[in-house]
Amino acid sequence: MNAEDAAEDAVVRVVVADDQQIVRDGFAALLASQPDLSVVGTAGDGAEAVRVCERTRPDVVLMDIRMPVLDGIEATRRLADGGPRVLILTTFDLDEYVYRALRAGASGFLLKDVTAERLFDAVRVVAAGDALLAPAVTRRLITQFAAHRPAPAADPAEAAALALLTPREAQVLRQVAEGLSNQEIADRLVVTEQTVKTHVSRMLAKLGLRDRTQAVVLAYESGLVVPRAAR
Amino acid sequence: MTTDAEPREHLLPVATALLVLGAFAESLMRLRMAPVTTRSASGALGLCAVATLTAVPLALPGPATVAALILVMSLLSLVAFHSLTISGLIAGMAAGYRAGRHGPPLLVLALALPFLIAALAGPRPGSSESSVLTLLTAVLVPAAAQVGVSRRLRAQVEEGSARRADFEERLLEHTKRGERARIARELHDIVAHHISMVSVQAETARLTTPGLPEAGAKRFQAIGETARAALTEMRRLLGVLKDDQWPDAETAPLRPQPGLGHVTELIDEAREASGSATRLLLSGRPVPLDPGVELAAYRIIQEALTNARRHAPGAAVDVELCYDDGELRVRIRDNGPGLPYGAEGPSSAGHGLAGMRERAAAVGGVLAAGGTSGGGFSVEAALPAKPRETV
Repeated sequence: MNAEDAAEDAVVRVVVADDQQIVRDGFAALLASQPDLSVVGTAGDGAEAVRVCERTRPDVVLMDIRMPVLDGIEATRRLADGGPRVLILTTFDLDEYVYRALRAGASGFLLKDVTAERLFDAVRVVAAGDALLAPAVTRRLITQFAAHRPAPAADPAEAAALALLTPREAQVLRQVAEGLSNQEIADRLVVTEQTVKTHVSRMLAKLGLRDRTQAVVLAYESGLVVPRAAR
Repeated sequence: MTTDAEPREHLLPVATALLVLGAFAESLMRLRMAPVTTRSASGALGLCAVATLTAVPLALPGPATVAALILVMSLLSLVAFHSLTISGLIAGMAAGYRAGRHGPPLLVLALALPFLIAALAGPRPGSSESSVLTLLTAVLVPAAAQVGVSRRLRAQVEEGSARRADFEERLLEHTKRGERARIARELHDIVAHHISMVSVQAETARLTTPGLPEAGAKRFQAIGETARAALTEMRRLLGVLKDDQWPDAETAPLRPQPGLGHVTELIDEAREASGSATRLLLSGRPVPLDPGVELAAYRIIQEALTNARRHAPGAAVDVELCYDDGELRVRIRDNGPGLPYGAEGPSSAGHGLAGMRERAAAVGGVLAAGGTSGGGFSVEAALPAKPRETV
């Protein structure tokens, strides 16, 4: 859906990390078939993925979770600070994997048996960063797990950052957490989509977050948005 | 209420009725033998009533109440009429036994005390028969209570050991079932990875094969769709096999399923943990095997090393891997105390061995475990091993 946006920003640089060579080569070949996507490196384990990313500075990493040496979740955590956006690859849609990956800083997740078209789309969406991959699923996951957490951990740094938001930005954050797109938020607030984009990017910058997915995680975990029961 | 008391429960009214009749007859006899002049009509009626009523409470529920009523009635009979009946004594013993078996035995002791005092106080004039019955009541009722108490204790011990055996059996069954579910999960996991590779390859072929005719692309698409359908079912199946209702975020595996390539790590771990000599002995030409077989071999070695550490701490352990034609033989042997030569594995170490057997059986292999001739314990498995086609 955001193919145009990505195309504007020229080519999306991608790294593929998976311990199965067939999967790694397959995904790399698929991505390379797209003119706006370019595979700049591959890795067979988490540690190698971190090294390759530090060297090649990609925009997006496709990251398998179960890998030798260093698992994909830990690799995602190590890449969290200023690294590429991480798209998690799993064989199983095990909620606990995905939730842990999101908390570690992943921007989205894909099943390995995804169709090629959806794979391309997901990479473009994540690269653009202004939309949530599978909003309904992401929200369900986070609300479910946030509800099972003992208590929202009151991180003082987080609270201070949240206090910096203007009322409008906080409002936008809440709606992002509900899984709304920029256009949907614009319709609700009766402003232009461009205005919403500005609010979102300021909000992300103030919170030190890299994309909407991480904003959703923070909104639920900080208790700014309370999961609704029986969703 | 314990189960062994129940079959006799319906006899209680019958026994009570017999005792009541007996008491009535006895008191009549007693009246006939006594000189008529010494007994007033109301006194005679009272004696009959008290003697008869002594046995009646036996039919009531509640051992404490029964014992109290019977002994108080007997005491009343003794004090008011200087008379006790054999039926009353039997009823008292029955009540004493029941109190010992199901109720408070100390109450019986307390209630029997007045009879002892009465007996020790010396024979009453003109009723030596009553004196004997008093003494008998003082002795036999607590004795009956004592029998009840010992029966109760024995029943408790039996019940306890039965319950423990039952618990152990259920635990073993539970562990077995859990182990089987785990094996099934891991094997499905391997299959799911294979199928996802089919899907990836079908998509890759569809989009990256130069000059692929449209019919070919459609075929590849169909292959991909079939693989995805299979995986969807597989995920459902794994959901069923999952043991916890709520997934524990800390237990989901983050590493690929282990194979024989990881055995050296196991050996290193064992060596570090026990500080004793653990060796890996290889024979034959190692070739990659089916992941299911490699996983089974890995888990068997892992479990056997854990067992060795637990049951033969400090013992040296040899892990042998023998790649033979069409067969992989795995042997884990320690030089610990082991078992008598030829003895089968102890059943208390049970589920570890049972789990290993299940592992071997799941891939079509066999496993044996027991003491070795040189002392120590050995676990030996033979797994079918067709070399994996290179992919």
